[in-house]
Amino acid sequence: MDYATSDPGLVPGPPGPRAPLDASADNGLKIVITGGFGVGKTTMVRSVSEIRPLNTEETMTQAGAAVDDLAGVGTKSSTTVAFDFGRISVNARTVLYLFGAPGQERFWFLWDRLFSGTLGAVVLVDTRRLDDSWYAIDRLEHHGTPFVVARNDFGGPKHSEEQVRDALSLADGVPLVDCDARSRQSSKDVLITLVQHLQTLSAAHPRAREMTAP
Amino acid sequence: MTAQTALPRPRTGRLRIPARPREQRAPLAYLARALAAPLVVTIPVAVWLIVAAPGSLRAPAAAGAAAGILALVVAVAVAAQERWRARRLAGQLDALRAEAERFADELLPAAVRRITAGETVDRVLTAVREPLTGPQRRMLALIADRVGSSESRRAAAMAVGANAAGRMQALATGMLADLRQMEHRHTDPAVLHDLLHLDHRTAQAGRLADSIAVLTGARSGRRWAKPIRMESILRGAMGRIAGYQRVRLHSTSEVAVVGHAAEGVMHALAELMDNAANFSPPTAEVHVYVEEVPAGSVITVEDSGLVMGEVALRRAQSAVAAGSGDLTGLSGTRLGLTVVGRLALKHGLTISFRPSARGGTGAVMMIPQELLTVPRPGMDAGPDAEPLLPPEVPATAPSVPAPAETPDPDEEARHTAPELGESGLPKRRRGQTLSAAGHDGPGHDRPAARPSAGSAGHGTAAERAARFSTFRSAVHGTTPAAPAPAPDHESPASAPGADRDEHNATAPSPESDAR
Amino acid sequence: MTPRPGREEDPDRLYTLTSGRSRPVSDAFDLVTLVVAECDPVPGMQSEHAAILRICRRPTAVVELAADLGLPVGITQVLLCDLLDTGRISARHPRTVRTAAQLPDPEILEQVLVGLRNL
Repeated sequence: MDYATSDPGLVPGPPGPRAPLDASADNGLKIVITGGFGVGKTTMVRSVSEIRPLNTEETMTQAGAAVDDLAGVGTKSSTTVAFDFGRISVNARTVLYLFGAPGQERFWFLWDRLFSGTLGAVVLVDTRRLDDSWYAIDRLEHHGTPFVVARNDFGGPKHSEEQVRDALSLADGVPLVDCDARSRQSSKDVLITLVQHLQTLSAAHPRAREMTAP
Repeated sequence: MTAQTALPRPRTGRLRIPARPREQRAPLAYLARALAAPLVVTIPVAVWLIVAAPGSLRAPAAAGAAAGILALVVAVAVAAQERWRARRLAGQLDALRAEAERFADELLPAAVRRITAGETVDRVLTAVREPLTGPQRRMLALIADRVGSSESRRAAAMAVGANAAGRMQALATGMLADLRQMEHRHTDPAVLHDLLHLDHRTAQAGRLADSIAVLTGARSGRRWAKPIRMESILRGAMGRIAGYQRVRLHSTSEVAVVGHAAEGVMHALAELMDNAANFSPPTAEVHVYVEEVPAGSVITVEDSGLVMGEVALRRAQSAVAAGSGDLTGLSGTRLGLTVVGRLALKHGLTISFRPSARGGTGAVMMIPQELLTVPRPGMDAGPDAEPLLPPEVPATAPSVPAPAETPDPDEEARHTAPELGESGLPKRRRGQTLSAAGHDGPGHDRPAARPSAGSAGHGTAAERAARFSTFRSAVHGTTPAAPAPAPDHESPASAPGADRDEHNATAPSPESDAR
Repeated sequence: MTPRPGREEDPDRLYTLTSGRSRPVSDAFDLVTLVVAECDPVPGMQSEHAAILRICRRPTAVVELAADLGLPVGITQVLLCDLLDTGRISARHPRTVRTAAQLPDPEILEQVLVGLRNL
């Protein structure tokens, strides 16, 4: 299997076999990990996924290479971004899918599909390029999707949580945590923070306890 | 235009056309032959008369006889001379006639043939060994010159056509690759729909360019680096015709066509499928069957349109058989079959036509075994391949180096210095990016109050819908959801018995212009 | 492992896989709807259908299928609709679709939390 990842510059993991799900698996859940370009979305998906992150789009190579390239319009090899995803089997019936989604405005067309029915989102930020995450946060607030913000540690000057929270104009209830997307434990903790945040929201809205049938 | 101005040739070339030597045969031997017979008869008679005559009469008899013989000899000689001259003239005439015929029937056509085959006029003229008269020589030079220049004009025109076709092929191939990328990138169903429409149009344009390339003798535009499975061959062919949605494939074949022949096979099949689709009612299906035989694979393209008559069948067969024929006399209507013929010749395909069991016509293509191969396992999974490997042990945290993701230069450029807060961090204003992007104003922004992703972003969706419906009507010329319009040609059923080619000529469909 | 690696090297245009259809007739398939095959592939079947039936011998999410087939999700959904209509597959839909003012089922959240902690 030779899947491309949307974030270049990563050492691709070994092409591993993909384990099939339990035959009893019957409920797929979604969590979206978003943020600016190069903020570590794929890294985080990779560090907690039980499968090598897959991409809905592969690196495109020559399509039936033209023998004659008289017009100089030969097809060029390039990678384009859709989204990559990983998987966590929660138990025999429930599977959690993690989607690394580009947070940039030009990928807005992906969002409706990705965010419909998602449990919640993780916004990864890099304090050196904090404004890269603005669009993602605006979009999530607009959709009403619960999210947490995770500051991926890239080194650089350390800002207080309050400073970051203020800079991002985060609402009071939105958790902000530090993480290292390369670390399985750290990424796991971010996801746990998100689920706990969802539980808090759920508890605050007792009416919302109804489970919706498909 | 004279030979000299058109193509300056070395004078020696002209001098080398040998002149015919004049016939100068002495008539003496002929005269002797002519005189021999009368003399052999008259001299003994004269001698006998002289001997038999009475003595007194002997002298006058002898004189008379001598005079008679002399007169006879003179008369015979004169007559013989005349006859000899007549014969000689007749002989000359015959020789001239034969020579003129040889000139007209052999020498001239041979010279023209050699020029059209690509030899230079010079070479051909100097190679003439036969003796020629002055007029013949001039005639040959003139004709050779004219043929030569028309031949170079034709070759130049073909080269221009081949070159342009090659460029169009490269463009179409590039566009198809771009479209495929976009089809993967854009997950919006409306956008995907439009992209597929453009893809189909481009594939048809590419086929037209391929046809022109084949007819002008250009190199094939596309080559496949690997064998192409039969299913892909059939779909690759049907994707290039307007009426692909009417084509039904029936194949369990597991073979693949070798890479170097795959493009030609697909192109030829596309022409046969297009032919079938165009000559059956607009809603009728075209059925394609694949059958393995010891000699190779047989692909049958069957329509339920008009049954081709004897004449039409023969005509189709000869159009396909022509193979290397030139473009003269190629009416636009029979382009497709001529292309099929060229491709068949190039790849060793056998094409035939026969009445179809479905009531229409069946075109049969036989792909010889040399062009077939069995796909390598792993190239494509067969129906029994196991796609999933045994479960893996969940990976431990991979030790990936620090997030070394390189920023997209594009993003970099768009990264304008934002307003900084007291902390030195840029300060976000809620909804700012949405309004800047022109999707939704901040007024639409009601955090957590509109949690339904489905209903969120109505303004966006409406805008998008409006934009794409405009786009769609621009490209389709019809209502947004309508599929590509069917070729607008008269139903062949309305003209029963009409010759297929002629029918097409009278009702050209906008999408089947390759015929 | 992938049935059609490097699809861009194949001459099949995407519209020929679905007879020109680019969108599923229904919203039956979410990205994480789990698909299960109800029968085995048969000879003569469209190769994508056969591949889906092979892959889905165990439950497989739509998005994983799309990645395996090297096809856009939309095209994959059309193919799945065909198979669903003919009863060759069944679909297990996600059970926590959030709708207006509703949050995921706390029970499921609890399961997820336990699952994550046990990773």
